[in-house]
Amino acid sequence: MESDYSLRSRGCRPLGANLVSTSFAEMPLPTLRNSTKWSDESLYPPLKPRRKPCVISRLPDEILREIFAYTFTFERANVPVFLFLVCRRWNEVASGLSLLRSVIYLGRPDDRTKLYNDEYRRPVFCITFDQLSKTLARIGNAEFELFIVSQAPEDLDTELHSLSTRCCSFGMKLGPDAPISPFSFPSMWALRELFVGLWPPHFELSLDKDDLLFEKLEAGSPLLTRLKIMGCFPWSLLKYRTLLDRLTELELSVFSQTFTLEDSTALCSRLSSVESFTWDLYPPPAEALICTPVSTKTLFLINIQEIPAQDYRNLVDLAVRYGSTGEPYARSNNLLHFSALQMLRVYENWSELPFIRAPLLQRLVLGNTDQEEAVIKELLPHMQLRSRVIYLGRYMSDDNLVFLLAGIWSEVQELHKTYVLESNVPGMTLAQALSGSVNTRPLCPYMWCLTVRLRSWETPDPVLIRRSAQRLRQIVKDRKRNGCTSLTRVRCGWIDMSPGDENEEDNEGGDDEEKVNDDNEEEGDDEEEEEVAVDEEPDRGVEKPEESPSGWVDVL
Amino acid sequence: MPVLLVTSDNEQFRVEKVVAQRSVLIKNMLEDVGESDQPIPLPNVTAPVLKKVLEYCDHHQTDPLPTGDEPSADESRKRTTDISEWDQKFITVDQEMLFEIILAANYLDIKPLLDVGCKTVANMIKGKSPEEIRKLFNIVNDFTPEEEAQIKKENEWAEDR
Repeated sequence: MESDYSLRSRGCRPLGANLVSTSFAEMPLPTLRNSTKWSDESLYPPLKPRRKPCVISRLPDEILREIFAYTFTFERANVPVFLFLVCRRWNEVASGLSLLRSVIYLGRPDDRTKLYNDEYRRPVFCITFDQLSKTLARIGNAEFELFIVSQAPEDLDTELHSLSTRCCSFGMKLGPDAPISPFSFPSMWALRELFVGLWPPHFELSLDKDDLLFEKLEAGSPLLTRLKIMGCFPWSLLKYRTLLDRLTELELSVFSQTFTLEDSTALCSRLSSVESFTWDLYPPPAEALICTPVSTKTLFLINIQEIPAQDYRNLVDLAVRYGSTGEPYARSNNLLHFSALQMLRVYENWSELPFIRAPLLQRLVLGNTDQEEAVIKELLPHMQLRSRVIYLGRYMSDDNLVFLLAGIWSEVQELHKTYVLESNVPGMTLAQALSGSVNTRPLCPYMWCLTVRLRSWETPDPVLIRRSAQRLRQIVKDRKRNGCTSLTRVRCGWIDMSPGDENEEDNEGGDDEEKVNDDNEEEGDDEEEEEVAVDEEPDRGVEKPEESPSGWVDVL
Repeated sequence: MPVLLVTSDNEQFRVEKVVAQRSVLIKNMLEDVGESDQPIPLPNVTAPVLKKVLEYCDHHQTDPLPTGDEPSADESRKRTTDISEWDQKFITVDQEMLFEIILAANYLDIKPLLDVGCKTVANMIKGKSPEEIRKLFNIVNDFTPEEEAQIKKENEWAEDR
């Protein structure tokens, strides 16, 4: 029986309340037998239909603030305007969260179109220092990040004096005819991260030739631990040992002709605290030019020809993008030891991987390769990379995959495979191998998770996605029938690469180079454009097999 | 030694100490009372919610405990809303239960669970318009049209203001 409390909570008065004063007082009370006919509800006029309860309103402000903070990402630092417009309480809570407005861009009006935005997500974008001052006034004493999107305004150095104590991250690209140099700036005491680059990249310019950039950073920014330099090799950085000692993250996007192996060896030997390190070389050098800091735990090598042979005792996460020099394929015969490596990602040309020994490897991501099938077949028997979790790009054929799953990958526990979605449901050979038969046992008896990601350059056909999900369901059934019940999570995802998304990505990137390419394309005539669309697969950057798809269908 | 927890609806849960101590509140209570078989009352948590919370604690019993020095989401400049597969599956519940879990995690002081809940709600909100959010959570729009227009204006491009 319901208590008075539960009846009140449903907006009902308890049975018998005020009963005497009503005209129904004379009526006989219902007996238990016919009580359904005479429920207490029938004594009162019907209530207005009630709104569903708003359960989120039970959360206290501090939790709501925490949730709002999670809607903000620094990579796409747009103010989540939608939070301010839901209701008064949300507006109050969001207004008190300075973080949401703490990433500020300064640039020309046309620059803002390059930043990702829509009606409900906008970057804090200023054109003048007056606007910047007003914007900063809104966030009180909170720290902020400032990015100069295009050419720095001429009076930036004087204006920055007022900002220097609260700016925790600063980024700017310098053109060759920049009216100022970046570090005629004042010392920035709160600075923890600095991105500075020459744009367009120009190796004859030096970032710190006259202005002693690094000297100022070493003395005036004691909290600086993350440094990203683009467009030149900073030789002079080598002599600032205190600064180098302090860095925990260093990203260098450099011209490979401007430095030597000795330079990079000298630099890395002085980086004792760096845990995250990126070498981005342009153009891909013909020979090994780099070494990496021994302390690094996360390493990203972009456009390299070869992973340098050195001490990797601390490395936990390695990502590689091989660059192509157009030279014939030549695989290194080095054997590299990675005693602590847990994650290996190879985004392009994984067939160029050397022999790797990584006993603790947990996750392996293999993107695409432009090698022919015959070369890959030759390579596979030599591949000794074992991993619990494997992500594969679309270029790994089913035949090769089955070969590996029957061999060195037989104990894989999670398999995530990308296919191209065309007119047929892909993955038939893999499905047969995983299903097994009366005479052959299903492959990978320990596999508990299987996902298929369907990449489509047109809006994905829902029928094909459904059929693909059906095939996965069939694999589960067949495996069970053939004595293997290990699969407990099976999903089919799709990655929508249709032109609508491509445009969005362009906006997100906000990159000058993309803008230039777009402009060039616009100049070309329509016929040529059509030809490109038909003959060439559109270039949409590097495919990362481990990235989440646009949507999922849960099969299990 | 197992610990006895009593919910607001008087249901009792006997759980391993290592599991119960994922809650900083319970951990502190146990430290305060010392070795005792006294039941621990949890007046702000109902049985179905505690059952879910304990499922989380059991799965994560070997995770390192938060030190308390971690920056809050507001302070941290490098946050992510990624949720592990197990946690995602765990938190796939109806709205009522989701917010009850968040409130319980807050009361019991289980920071990782609170984070999973907050991230889940953040992911539900992201990419939606104010109207869609109101519909999703049954929130009443209590702005006057003038107030709404003013807020929109405040969030226009800086140079348009």
